[in-house]
Amino acid sequence: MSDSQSDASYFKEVVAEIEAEARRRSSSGEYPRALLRSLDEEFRRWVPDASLENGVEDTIRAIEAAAYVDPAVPVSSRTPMGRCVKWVVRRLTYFYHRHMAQQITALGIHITRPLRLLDASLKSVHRRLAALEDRLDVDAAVRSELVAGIPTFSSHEQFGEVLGAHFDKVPGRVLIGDLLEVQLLGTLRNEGVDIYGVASTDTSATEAVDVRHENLFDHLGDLQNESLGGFVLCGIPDRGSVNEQLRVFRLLLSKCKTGAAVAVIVVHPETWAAQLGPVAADLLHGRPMHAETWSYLLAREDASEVTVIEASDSSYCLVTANLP
Amino acid sequence: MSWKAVHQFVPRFARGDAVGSHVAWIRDHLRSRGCHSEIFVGTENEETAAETFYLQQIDHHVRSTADTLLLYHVAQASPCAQFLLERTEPLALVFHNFTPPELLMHWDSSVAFELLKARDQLGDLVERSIFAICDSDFNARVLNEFGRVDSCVIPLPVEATRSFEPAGGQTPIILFVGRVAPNKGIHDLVTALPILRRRLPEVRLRVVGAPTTELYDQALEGLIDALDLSEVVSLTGWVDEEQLEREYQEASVFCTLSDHEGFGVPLVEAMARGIPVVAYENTAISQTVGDAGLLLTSKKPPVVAAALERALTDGALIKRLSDSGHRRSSAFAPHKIACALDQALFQVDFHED
Repeated sequence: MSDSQSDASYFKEVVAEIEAEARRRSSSGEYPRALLRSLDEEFRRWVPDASLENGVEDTIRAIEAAAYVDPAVPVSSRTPMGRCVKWVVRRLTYFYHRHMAQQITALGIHITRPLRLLDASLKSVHRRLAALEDRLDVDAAVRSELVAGIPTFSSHEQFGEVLGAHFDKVPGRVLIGDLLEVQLLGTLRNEGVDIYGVASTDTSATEAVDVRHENLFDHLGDLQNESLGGFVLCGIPDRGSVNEQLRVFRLLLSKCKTGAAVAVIVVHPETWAAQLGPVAADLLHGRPMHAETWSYLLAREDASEVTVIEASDSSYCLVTANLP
Repeated sequence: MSWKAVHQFVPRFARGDAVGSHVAWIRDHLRSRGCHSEIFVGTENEETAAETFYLQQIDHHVRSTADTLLLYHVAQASPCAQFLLERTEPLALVFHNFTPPELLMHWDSSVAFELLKARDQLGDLVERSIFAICDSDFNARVLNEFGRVDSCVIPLPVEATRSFEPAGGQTPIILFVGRVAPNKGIHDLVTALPILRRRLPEVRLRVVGAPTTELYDQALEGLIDALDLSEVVSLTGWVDEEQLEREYQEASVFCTLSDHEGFGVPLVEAMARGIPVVAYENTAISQTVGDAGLLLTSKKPPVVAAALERALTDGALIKRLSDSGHRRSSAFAPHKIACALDQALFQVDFHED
C-alpha cells in the first residue's frame, strides 16, 4: 500500500471516528439541544428573502420598506429639457403625491404593527420552549450512559424468516430503525426485501447494506409522507421514553403508504427490568411497552392481521400487522 | 499545432486572485518559450493596466496570423465572450467554472443574473472553441454539459513552500482563505465555533479574503455578534501576498466548508505549506485535496467542531496531515503544470470538425 493509500484509509477512519464522536456528544447532552437549535437558526435570520425560514421578521421588514412611498418622483433625464419638464411636473403635483404617500405609508405601518406583536410573541414562545427543553433534558448525560449500557437482550435475526414473508409484497421500500445491529437487515435483504436501515449509533454496517447513520426522528422528519412500503420499529421500544415510542410510531404511520406492512420488535418488560438493575430502571425516562399495548395501538389504526410472536428465549416479541 | 502567439482574454485581470495569478503565470511561461503572449481584458483594472490591453485594442497591438491562438479564461460573464465569438482566430477555453447562481440569488441578484448570462455565453463559446483546459475533472464534467469540445484537465500551479510548525502551546488558529461570499460557507465555520470553544476556549478563526456582497458581510458580522464571537473571529478583508504568507505561517489548521469549488487554490497553498486541511467534501474539493485531508460529509456544527478539535490537538494526526498535504501539493508544482500545458497547447492536434 502506498503512503497516499494508507493516508487515505487512515483519514477516512478518523472522519468516521469524528462523526461518531459528534453524534455521541450530541446525544449525551454535552451540547444542550437549545444551543444546537439556536446555532442552526441563528444564521437563517440573516438570509435575505428567506422569510419562511426566518419567521416573520424579514417579511415585516420587507412590507415596511415597500409600504413607504416617496412622494419625490425622480427627475433625472438624458436631456436638460426633460429634467426641467419633470421637475416642473413634480412641483405642480407634489401636494397630491405627498397626500397619497402619507396615507399609504400609514396603512403599511398599521398593517405591520400587529405582525410585529405576533412576531415578538412567537419569539417569546420559542425562547421559553428552548429553556424548557433544556430543563427537561436535565441529566441527559447520565441517561445517555445508562442507555448505552442497555444490552441487546437477544438477536433479532431469528425473526428474519417471518419478517421476510411478512414484507413479501409491500407497496414500497421498508425502513428498519433504530438499528442496533445490522444482522437482521442483512437477513431481510437476503430474503429479497427492499429494505434500508437507520441507526443513530455506530453499527458495523458494510457497504452491502444501506444504513443511514442519523437520528431516526430527524430521518423521518425529512421523509415524505406516504413514501414507505412498511417499517420494522426496533431499538426505540427498548430504550425510548413512552412519549418517544408513541411519537416515532405516529411518524412512521404517517410515512406509510396504503396497504403497508409493519412490525415492531419489543423487549419483554420483565426481561428489561431484570437485566437493567434498579439504577437504570429508576433513572431512565421510560420502559418498554408490552406487546399487547403495541397490538392495541395497531388495532386502533384499523390494522389487520395483528400477530404477536415470542422469541425462543421469551426475551423479545415481534408484533406484525398490515395497515389498511 | 505550434502556436507562435497565444493571447489570453480574461474578464478582469487582478493580481492575487486565482484566475489573475493563473493568467500571469501562463503569460510568463509562454514568453519563456519564445511565444508571443499578451493579456486582454473585458474590464480594465487600474492596478494592472500596465500589463493588459482592453480587448477592443487587440488589432492595434498584435498582428494575428494563422498560428495565433486566443485563450479565454471563463469565470464570469464578460464582454470578452461576444467579442471572441466574432473573431476568426482559433479559440480555446480555460474553464475555471462559476458559482451556481442559485447560491447567490438571495444575496445579490445582480451577480446571480450575471452568472446566468455567463452560462448562456458558455454554450456559444464551447461550440466555437477548438479545445478547452479545465482546472479539475469536476470542471470538465460541468463543461461537458454545455456542449462537446476536446478538453483536458490541468490544475492551477502552486509552488510548494513548506513552512508549517505545529502550534504547540500557542493560540490555535483556524484559517480560511477565499472570497467572503455566501457559497464559501464561512457562516458554517463561524457557527461551529461556540461548540469548539467548549473544549478549546483559546481557538481563533481568521477569515482572509475580500468581501463580495454587502448583505453577506452584514449577515456574517451579525452572526459573529449574536454568537458573541467578535473577539474570536477576525475578518481581515483583502490582503497582499506578504500578509497572506504571514497568515499561512501563523495558521494551525486550514478549513473550508465551501459549497462549490471548481478547484480551490487556497487548499493547495495550505497543503503546500504543510498546514493540516479540513474541508467539506463536494464539487472539486475531494479532487483537489486528494487523500491528504479530512474530508467531512456533514457541516453540522458538532461534526465540524469535533473535526477541528482533532486536527488541532491530535499530534499524530497533525503530523500525518501535514506530510500528506505537502506530498499532495507536489502534484501542482509549476514545472509539472507547465509540462501539461505545453502538451495541451503545442503537442496535441485538435481538429475542427
